[in-house]
Amino acid sequence: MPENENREVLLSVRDMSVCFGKGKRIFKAVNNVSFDIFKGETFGLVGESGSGKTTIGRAIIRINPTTSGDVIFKGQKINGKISKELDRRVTREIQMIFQDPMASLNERAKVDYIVSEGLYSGERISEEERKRRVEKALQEVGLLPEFASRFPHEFSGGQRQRIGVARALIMQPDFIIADEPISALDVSIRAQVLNLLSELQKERGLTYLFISHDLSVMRFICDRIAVIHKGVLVELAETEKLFAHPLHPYTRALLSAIPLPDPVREKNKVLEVYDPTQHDYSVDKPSWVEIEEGHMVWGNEKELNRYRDMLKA
Amino acid sequence: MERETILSVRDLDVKFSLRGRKLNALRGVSLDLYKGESLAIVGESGSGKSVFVKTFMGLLDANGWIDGGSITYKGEDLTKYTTEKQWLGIRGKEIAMVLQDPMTSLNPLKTIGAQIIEAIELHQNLHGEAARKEMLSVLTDVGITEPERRAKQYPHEFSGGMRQRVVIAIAVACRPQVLICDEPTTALDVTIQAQILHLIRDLKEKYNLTTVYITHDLGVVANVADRIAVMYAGDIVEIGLCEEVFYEPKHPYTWALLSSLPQLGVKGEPLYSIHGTPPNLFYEVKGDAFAPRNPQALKIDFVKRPPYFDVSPTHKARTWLLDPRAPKIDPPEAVRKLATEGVKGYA
Repeated sequence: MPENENREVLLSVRDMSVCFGKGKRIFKAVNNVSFDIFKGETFGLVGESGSGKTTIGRAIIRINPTTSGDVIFKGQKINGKISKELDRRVTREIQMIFQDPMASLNERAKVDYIVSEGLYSGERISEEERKRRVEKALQEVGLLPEFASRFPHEFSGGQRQRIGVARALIMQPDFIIADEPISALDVSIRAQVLNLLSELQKERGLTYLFISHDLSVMRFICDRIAVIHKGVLVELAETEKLFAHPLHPYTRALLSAIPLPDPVREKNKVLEVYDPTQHDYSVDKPSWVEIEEGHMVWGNEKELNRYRDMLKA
Repeated sequence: MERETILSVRDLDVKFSLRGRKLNALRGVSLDLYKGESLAIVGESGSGKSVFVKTFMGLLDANGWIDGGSITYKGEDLTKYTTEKQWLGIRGKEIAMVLQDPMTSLNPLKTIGAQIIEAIELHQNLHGEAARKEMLSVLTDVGITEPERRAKQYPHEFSGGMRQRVVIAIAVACRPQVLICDEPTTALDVTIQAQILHLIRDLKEKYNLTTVYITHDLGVVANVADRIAVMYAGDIVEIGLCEEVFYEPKHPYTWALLSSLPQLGVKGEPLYSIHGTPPNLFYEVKGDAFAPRNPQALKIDFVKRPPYFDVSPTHKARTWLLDPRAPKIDPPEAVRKLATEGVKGYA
């Protein structure tokens, strides 16, 4: 893994919060999160349902407005009020792949339209050019060009997810947010889609934000992983470092709970249970601290000291 | 080791009629379920695993029917059942089921206490105060604290994990012999999943249950199973003890399934993936159903359906590779790695 300092930051999230509702019924779905995503890497965001991981993805791509903080993409602030021109650029350069390929494709549109819909919002292109790009995008994801005239229901789950990937690729993005892209797929199909994503990354130097709850898949494809719990990032580290030295008790609980497809290990594993009441943040306030190079953790002074001891041991 | 068989399925054929065409959902499945064991049925969607267990309870959709074979439970052939009344003697009372999604398997208009009491009154013939007491004790058994207060609440006041506990409470309140869990934790978070699996195991001991799990998650299987049946295209292609299927798998489909696990992949290299798609069950499947997707398939695989070959007294597989005349083909590297090194654990 290259040194972090020398790597180009593609996207930077600083103290970002996202709230829903207002007044007394306000709910903070994402609470002051900060992280950087480097160009060309696969950055994983893991958490339980309701932890705010999807909201972070949606806030970056400007579907949910941020309440405070900054999202900086290629050196420019892209959240809040931005110029129309920048908005258009962001729409093109950041694309999203959704979880359920059964639900995320317009059933009444042909593949041709689904894949090229994004092109209609950009600069005008000729019909021939559009057709050519659709064909190219379909080929890149391993589908035949003649599929363009078919409807989504004619495809299997894996093929539909490929259509979802083609729709993102046609915009020639730099950054793709993949929100649980393989959770709805069968084991054997998962492998195909994962391989496709990493192939495309190699060919085009794409950067991924991979949002998932499945740590065993993330271990396989992510360079770095951030763990989120109830809207707060609790730990961030390079993948293998996180698996080798998890510090935050929530990370530890999450790692210990992953089912291992290995009966001897699985039946003998020790489950750690996370009790959020163990943190006493009444006086000693927690913060987001780099405890060792590239390894961030959320905790107060007392906890951080304990984590430092854990790292030394 | 002689074990008591509680449910015995022989050559079960199930067909569905869809838009005037016949779909062969199950193609001659045989299985013995032993009393007190925990069996996991693994397979991809469409392999027939859910249809298979639904036949035990007479819950096939209206367009499906049993086309041959037998299901023997306590000396009775369940395939001969015709009336709902006969089935009511089995459903819940003898065989109970926990479904995947706790959001949809509870009645949103009734308190959870009332829903559990309903099962108790029907199956244990307790009423009034006795039924209420039993309800509270079952709620405690499934790990719900403050049962008195919680019993008065409605399903929407419970979290996903808690709701699944309620569904399990309803199932065990019927005092069944067999508990079928159809993807019991797919809709839950991993930390909750681990707790629910633990709970089912505890209840199995407490209530002397025989459990059948249906899942596609091999991690869950490794956690819960004594025995594993691998299903593909409407048939059990391999069955054996948990360790046998994980560490000495024999069927190429089991190999492929294990090889495509991300835990066994090497970072930066493509993950093993199975080519093609499962066979179309509208047509007669010739030979070994997995052959078209198996790059190492033998000629006979395309012609004749393999019988079961015994690997050990507890382990058998339907593949010609086990025929003494077959060429020796080694399992893929990932599968060997699983047997020798195991998967990477977590700190």
